[in-house]
Amino acid sequence: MGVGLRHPHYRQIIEDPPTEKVSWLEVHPENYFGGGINYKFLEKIREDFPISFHGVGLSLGSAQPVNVDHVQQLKKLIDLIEPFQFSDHAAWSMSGNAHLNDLMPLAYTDDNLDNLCRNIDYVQNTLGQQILIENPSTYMRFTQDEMTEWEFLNSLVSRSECALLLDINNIVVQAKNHGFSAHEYIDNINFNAVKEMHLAGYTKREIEGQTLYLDTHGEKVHKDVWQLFEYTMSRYSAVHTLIEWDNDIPSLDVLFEEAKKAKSIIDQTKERRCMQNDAAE
Amino acid sequence: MMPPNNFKTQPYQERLAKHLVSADEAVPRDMSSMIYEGGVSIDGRLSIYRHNVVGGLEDVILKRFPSLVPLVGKEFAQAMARAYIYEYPPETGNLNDYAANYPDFVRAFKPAQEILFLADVAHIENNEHRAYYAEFVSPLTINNLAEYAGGLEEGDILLDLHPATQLMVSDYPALDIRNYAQKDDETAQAPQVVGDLQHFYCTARQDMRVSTYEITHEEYIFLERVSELKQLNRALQETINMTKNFDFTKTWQNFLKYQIFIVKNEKAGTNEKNSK
Repeated sequence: MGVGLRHPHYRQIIEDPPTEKVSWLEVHPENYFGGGINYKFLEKIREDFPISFHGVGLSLGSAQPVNVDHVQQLKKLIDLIEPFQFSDHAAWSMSGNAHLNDLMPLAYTDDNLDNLCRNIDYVQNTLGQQILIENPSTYMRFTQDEMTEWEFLNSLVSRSECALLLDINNIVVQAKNHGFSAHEYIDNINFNAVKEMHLAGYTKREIEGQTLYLDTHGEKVHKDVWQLFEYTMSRYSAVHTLIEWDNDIPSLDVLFEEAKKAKSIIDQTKERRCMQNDAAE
Repeated sequence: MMPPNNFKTQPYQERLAKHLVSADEAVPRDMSSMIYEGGVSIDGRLSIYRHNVVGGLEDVILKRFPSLVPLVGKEFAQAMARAYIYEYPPETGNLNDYAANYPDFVRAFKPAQEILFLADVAHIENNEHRAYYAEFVSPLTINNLAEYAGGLEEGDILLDLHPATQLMVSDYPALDIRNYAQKDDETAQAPQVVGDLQHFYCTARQDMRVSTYEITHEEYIFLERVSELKQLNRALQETINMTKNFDFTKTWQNFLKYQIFIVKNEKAGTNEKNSK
């Protein structure tokens, strides 16, 4: 189990590394571009924990090419910190000279699949390693959609040889916002390509009398996300799993409790699957 | 090799990006045919993204310049940040570099022009941010001075400001105002804001801590001369020529303590800027 490493926890993690409560940490690499004090903290923390990079700035879904300077900064940081995994999103943020600092939704079309594959190929070739692509949370759907989200992601995997980061919270948010079955998503996603999972909390917001579910990463993991996680683990073997929390960041103990809960679900479902397999034999 | 370009979905992304960082909240007409309403209007759906984009950048600016909020109030600080975002949306995904020209923007921002010291307070906080993210290079300190002392005196070893060191001049007691703004103590005395005296400031990073110090005019001149000439003796001589009361011994001790300098060994052809 891993947790997202955020600035308020640097000193505590360095002073008393919680190696028994969590086995790896994930960071947004953009926070460490250019060096400085944050980088020094990360350099120290990596002595005790494997680190994974979860990018938020590549804008892989942009119609325009990725920012070459951004990729170079990322490469430099990867060479220094040597993360065991690197991920970014099936989304776009950059258009022209404006970078939106948010993950904008893509229409699920062949054109956008082409764009995403082109940018992923460039990044994978430049970094010399496979990227994991995270499924998004979105608040609008496009009239041009030509396929479901899981079909889009499965095609992406087969065309670009990237892997997937499956955010279980995002699937719940998508299913609620756009009215499809989260279980159908799990049943149909190419889980062989999934190398990491995220668990996080969403927030409900009333807009024009309707409830929309926002991927805020500011609360504990909700019951329906835990249930979908359990369903996923009942079907597939566990991969690296992370508790992600970016807003109103709580104490590390809260994150560790969430990680412990996830670990317990992984262990219980694994045991059940083993018993079922034994019974079948 | 540069990745090839593809413009098929570019117009849609360009329009949406412009819309989300523009003061005009009206949704472009042709965009409405692209998005399903499904119980929530397109305006309502895009308002979530607008809130994420502009609100997220607003947070970045307010956290980067934390003293502006107590000085002008949250509403004013947010409005000023929004005006900046609409004029200067970020150009890269590296937000550490964003809003570097915010002090200049504050200086030119008409609704804030009566608050004469505001831009200088923002300038101090910008310098501290730059110092925080500056490259790590071994500083010249009291502990390693002996290693370089001879070379520095002879001019064989060059002296420079550490990449984290930032200098500024203000017509106002900007540092006192900043420190006052950050105090939780309601009984703290407000500094007298008199614009007839120049104040000189140096921001430096000692190990993992960034601080700003008020320095004398003479010390400021000395640091400027070091930055320009790179030689201790020449910088010192020019400072003495330009000023009357320069206490080099005291200044030198303090600056070594603040970790303001780095050395470069020119004679040996090696750079002592050892990145750590």
